[in-house]
Amino acid sequence: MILHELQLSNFRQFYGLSPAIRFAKGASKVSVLYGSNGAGKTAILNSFTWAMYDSVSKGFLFPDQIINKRAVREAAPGTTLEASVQLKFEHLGRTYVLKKTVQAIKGVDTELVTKGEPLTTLMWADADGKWKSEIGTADAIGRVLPRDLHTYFFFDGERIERIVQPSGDDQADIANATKKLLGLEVIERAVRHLGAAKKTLEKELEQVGDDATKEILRRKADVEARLAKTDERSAQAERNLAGQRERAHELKLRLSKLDEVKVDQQRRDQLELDRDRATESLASAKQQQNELLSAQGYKAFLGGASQTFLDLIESLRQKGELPAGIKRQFVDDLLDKNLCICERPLDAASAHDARCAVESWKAKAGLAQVEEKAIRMGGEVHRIKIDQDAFWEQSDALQRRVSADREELSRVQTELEDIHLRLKHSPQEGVKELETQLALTDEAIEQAHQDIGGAKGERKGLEVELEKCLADLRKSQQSEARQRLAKRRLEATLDAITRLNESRALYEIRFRRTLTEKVRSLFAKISYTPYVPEITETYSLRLLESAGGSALPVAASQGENQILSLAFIGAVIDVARDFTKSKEKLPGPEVSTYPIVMDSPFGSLGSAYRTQVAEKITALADQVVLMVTPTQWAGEVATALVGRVGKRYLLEYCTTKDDIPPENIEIAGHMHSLVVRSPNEFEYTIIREVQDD
Amino acid sequence: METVDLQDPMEPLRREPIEIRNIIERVLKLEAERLYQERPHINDDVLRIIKEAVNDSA
Repeated sequence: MILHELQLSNFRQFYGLSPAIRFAKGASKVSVLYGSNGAGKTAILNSFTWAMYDSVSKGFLFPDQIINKRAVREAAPGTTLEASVQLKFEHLGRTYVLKKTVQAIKGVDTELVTKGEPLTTLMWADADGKWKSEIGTADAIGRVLPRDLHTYFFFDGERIERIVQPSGDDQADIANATKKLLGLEVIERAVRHLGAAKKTLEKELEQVGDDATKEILRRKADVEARLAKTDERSAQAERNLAGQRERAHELKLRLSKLDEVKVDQQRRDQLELDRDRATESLASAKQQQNELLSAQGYKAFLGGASQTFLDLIESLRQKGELPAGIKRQFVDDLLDKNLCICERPLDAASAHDARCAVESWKAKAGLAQVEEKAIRMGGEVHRIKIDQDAFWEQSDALQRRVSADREELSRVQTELEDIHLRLKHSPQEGVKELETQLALTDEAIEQAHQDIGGAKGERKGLEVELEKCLADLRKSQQSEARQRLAKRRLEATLDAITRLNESRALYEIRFRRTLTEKVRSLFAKISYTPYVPEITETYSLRLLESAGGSALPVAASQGENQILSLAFIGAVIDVARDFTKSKEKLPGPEVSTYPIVMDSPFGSLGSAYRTQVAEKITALADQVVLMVTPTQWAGEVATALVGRVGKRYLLEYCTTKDDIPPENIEIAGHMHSLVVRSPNEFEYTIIREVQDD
Repeated sequence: METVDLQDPMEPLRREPIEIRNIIERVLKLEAERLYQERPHINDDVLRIIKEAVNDSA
């Protein structure tokens, strides 16, 4: 931030529109405003902070005394009066004009009635010179120089020791401001806000829930194991079946080779072929029956509905309502034309009955659509009837085939049973034995079939169960993925917080050490006491004195505390500026140019200290504005700042008193009066620039 | 004290993995932008940064 100019209008002591105070920049960066006590030095300091931050120093009476008293007295009752502060400055290549105005209406006597809150406007222009208005004034100023840093840049030298001995709240403010200037505030806030995010993420993680994927996986493994066992059982049954069939074939072959039973066995072979054929035919007929029933079975139930429909149509015909014979559109046209088909007018008052009669045809005409549908449906109903007959015919034919196949099967079965009994009871032991074995083999084949069927059924059930497991698993895995993501986010947040804290600790150590070194060096240059400054963890300052190998806090004087505070401000500015340029810079304020506006900067300091403060502190800031009394300036300060002062202004106080003690300042060999006799009955201050020779 | 001195305060912020670095960089930038506000309401933005940095594709 570089200050360009300040212009006051009716602000406190400054009557009317004062000339703009243009601030020095560059090599001769010091601007000095000379004024006696009460001339308005503190008012100028406050004009900065009031306009920028709506903040004024303690003891500065506001706001009822803000408008210049002379302006108030001179105004007629009812007049609107205005006081304003306009500050022009530059920041990061942009020029700003900040103006704060307060208005009041003069009542009777000198009473003032304020007209609402002060109005602040902020305009800015880039290099193109086009001015734009800023809406969020406070935010924009905050970006230029954060509010809580302003105590470092605009301060009253006589109260500066408060930086060393702050009250509770001020202490926190100073610590925060220092951290903000150094960039640490950014890390602290990041830690705080990430902590809040962490809580939200923890809640989200709770909501995602804990799905028992492991349990589902265990269930799935169990089902898969059972499936494998079932398949193994089924395969075993298949092997048994094949083995027993082989065995049966062999036994039958042996029987067919025995002369005594050869015929029986050959017959049995034939019967078995017949049985297989009949079984196949029966299965096929049943299959066709099923297909017929599912595709056309409904036709069996349509008879009643078709008949109801035909009866309804017939009754309409009998009543003469079908066919309707007249179209609704035709009746509508007659009514529109107000003319009956018989040429009788329908609009006359006497034609009411005739019109009603024509209108009644509308209802009948409506049936024309019914008729159309009835004709179409009549065809459909007729076809249903035919289809129904065909369905019954097919169904009966299939039923006959099923019965025939069953009969055939029964016949074959009986004959097979007879052959079996004959062979079983054969007097020949060999035949008997073979037949008994064949019966056992058949039983085993039957058992194998049962086993295969049972395994198949069991497999179906297990497949359903497995599908359910897989569905559960997919659901659970999705939920787990969400859970994992929530966990990862939470862990990342915790990690980020840990690292930021780690970095903050390192920065704090580095900053405090650098600051301490800087403050010590500055303090040592200014003060001739052997005390050593120390910056505590909370960024408060104290002086230590080494006594017998240990350092003890010193009860410092006001002057020492003032030097310490100034050294601290200088050191903070210096360290912050260095840091802004360093590659270790954290994101933060981009300020690298700092002005210092000091009221009575040398407070109660002795002459040696004044020289040092003037030299050292002004050397640190990029731009310095000093408000001094002749006493504060004369001598060592003036000497110390030779060659650095670029602008000088007099705050010429006009008093109504006659016996004015002389209050002069000598600048470049010229004497200037700082207190003059007012040409009227008012007390006020005039700002005059001191021109260089 | 000497060992601490040697450690770069930026090192913990630059360390891998990239998603943590990403979160830190973006949150610090956001905080810096809102530094002028006494109490910035940025909890939602911080949460969004975390969720964008750590996502399904990561």
